[in-house]
Amino acid sequence: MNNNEKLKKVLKKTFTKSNIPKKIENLKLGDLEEWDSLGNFNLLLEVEKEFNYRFDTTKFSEMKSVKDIKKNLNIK
Amino acid sequence: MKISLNSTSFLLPQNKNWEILEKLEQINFNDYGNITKVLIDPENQKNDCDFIIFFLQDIIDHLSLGSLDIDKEINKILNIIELIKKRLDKNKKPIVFALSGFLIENTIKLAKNESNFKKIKNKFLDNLYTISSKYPNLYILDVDEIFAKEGFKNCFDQRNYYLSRCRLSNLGIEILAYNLKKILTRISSSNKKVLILDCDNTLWGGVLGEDGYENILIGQDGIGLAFRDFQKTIKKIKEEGTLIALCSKNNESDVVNVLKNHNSMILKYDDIAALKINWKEKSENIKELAKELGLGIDSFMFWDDNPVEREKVKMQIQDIEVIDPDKDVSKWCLQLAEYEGFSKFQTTEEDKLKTQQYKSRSKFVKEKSNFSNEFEYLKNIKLNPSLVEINESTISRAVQLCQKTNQFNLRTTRYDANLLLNLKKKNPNSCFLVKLKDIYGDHGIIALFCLKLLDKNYLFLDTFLMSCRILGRHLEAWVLNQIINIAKKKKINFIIAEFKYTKKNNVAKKFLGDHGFKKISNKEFTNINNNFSKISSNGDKSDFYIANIKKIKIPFLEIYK
Repeated sequence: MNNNEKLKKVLKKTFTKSNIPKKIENLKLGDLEEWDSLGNFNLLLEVEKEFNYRFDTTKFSEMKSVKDIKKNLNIK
Repeated sequence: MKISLNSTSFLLPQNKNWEILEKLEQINFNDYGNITKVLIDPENQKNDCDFIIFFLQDIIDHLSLGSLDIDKEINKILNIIELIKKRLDKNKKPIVFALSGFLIENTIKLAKNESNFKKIKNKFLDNLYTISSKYPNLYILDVDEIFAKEGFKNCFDQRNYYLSRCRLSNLGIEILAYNLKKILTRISSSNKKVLILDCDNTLWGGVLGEDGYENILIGQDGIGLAFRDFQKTIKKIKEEGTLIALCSKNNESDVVNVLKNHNSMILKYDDIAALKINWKEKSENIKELAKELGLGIDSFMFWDDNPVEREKVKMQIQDIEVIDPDKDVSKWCLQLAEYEGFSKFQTTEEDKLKTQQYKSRSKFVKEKSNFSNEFEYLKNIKLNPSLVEINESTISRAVQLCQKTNQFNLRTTRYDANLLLNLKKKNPNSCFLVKLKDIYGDHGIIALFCLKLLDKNYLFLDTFLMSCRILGRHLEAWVLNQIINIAKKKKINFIIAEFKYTKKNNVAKKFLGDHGFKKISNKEFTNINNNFSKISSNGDKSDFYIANIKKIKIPFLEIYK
């Protein structure tokens, strides 16, 4: 599974009621009904688990989109 | 069940880790912060159970603890204890109280003094346990205890706290949810009652029929010691009230010989409630065991080293729990000890006697089936029942019967001590326990009935239940006759009764109809009930009956003459 697929998997797992679009590159907080600030928090925790990575407090508080996540995970 | 989840900190609703609870029940996350609200707010009574997750740090500012008045802080805790008591006095619905109070502290300072924070936590926990012994519906979860296994640093997360006021990490939520689920499961469903074990390569190493009595591996060292420790764990479970049954393809006399005479065996013949040692299919044997013990197969757990036998049992018996033991015997002892299916919140003195009682039940069932004339047989076993007052020394048994009797139970009302004593007070000489002796032993207190006086003409059979281990003696006929006698003394003309369907009380379904009661329609019942409205029916499926005291003829009474 490549990183994009992994991220998509996490999105699907976190936002079970939403339709996750095929292209997720530009997806951000607010685009899905479940992706509100609480959803964002839970999403980031799932990302950490899936990628076995830990964001520090500052980075965690700044990430609000797929782009942000990818940048901080250092993946393409 | 509707469950409210309350906490002093944010719990991150919608987090994936809560799903194991959400799959079981409807979970409502209340706003975090003020947990006293759930204890005093009548709005919250809509819930069937309240979970309270309490982080001591949220109430006691640990960073300023040095300058705080400890007594004052402890008073905060005692106030919360009082609120819990008040809530449980008013409303019986369960509270699960999870307490966390962990700080990483300074080793040097702790070398001479216990930390104040820990002192307060321990005081809190002591008080919780003290009141939990008085309030059966209060359950305690020591969160620090369950987190210690994985490590506090992995379970708490300061970052999450600063960003969202959630003190826990993903893992912390996972562990908390998992343990809350365990408690919830045991609140809503009863524990397993029977452990069914294979013998060869399960109780001992080797095959008795081939290796012989002298050569089975048990007790020496190495693998024999692992089997011995496994047997010790089984014995402990037995002492806590679980029945041990054997089901093995062997010669019965060989196995009995090992149980009675082999010095290294921890499990002895007397520890085994029932056994089926023969060459029949295990599923058949297990079904027979269920009959002999009078217990539902859904309360059985099966442990066998042979995967083929396990698969067959799984395929042929739906409700049984089949455990897959670890391939390595050295892990069995721990695996069985960690299994929580048998665990219950409290063990009583009664639990220790269980094996003996069920053993005599299984002997009774076997001997009865050998007799062609049931009546003649029952007349000969010296049945000797009598009524017992509900009072201080018997109330706990009466409550236990109410809480635990599933099968022969007409209405399955789960009374606690207060409700039961109240019922008795309002209906003098109408609520009794029944004890029984016969040649199989003293069975103790095994039945309970409560009558509600409706008016000078009508009695309502509010409670009628019997422990399943003495079924098959037509004792229900004797008990009913006692009820008729009470009614006659009170010059009552009619008894109304209800059979309330549950998943488990099918065995009692025909009782009223077969013992002189006449079935009436719901409408007829409602008409009678409307005159009194003392009978609360909660809309479950029910059958209603009436009996005319002057005309009722109860069968089987000659057995008790």
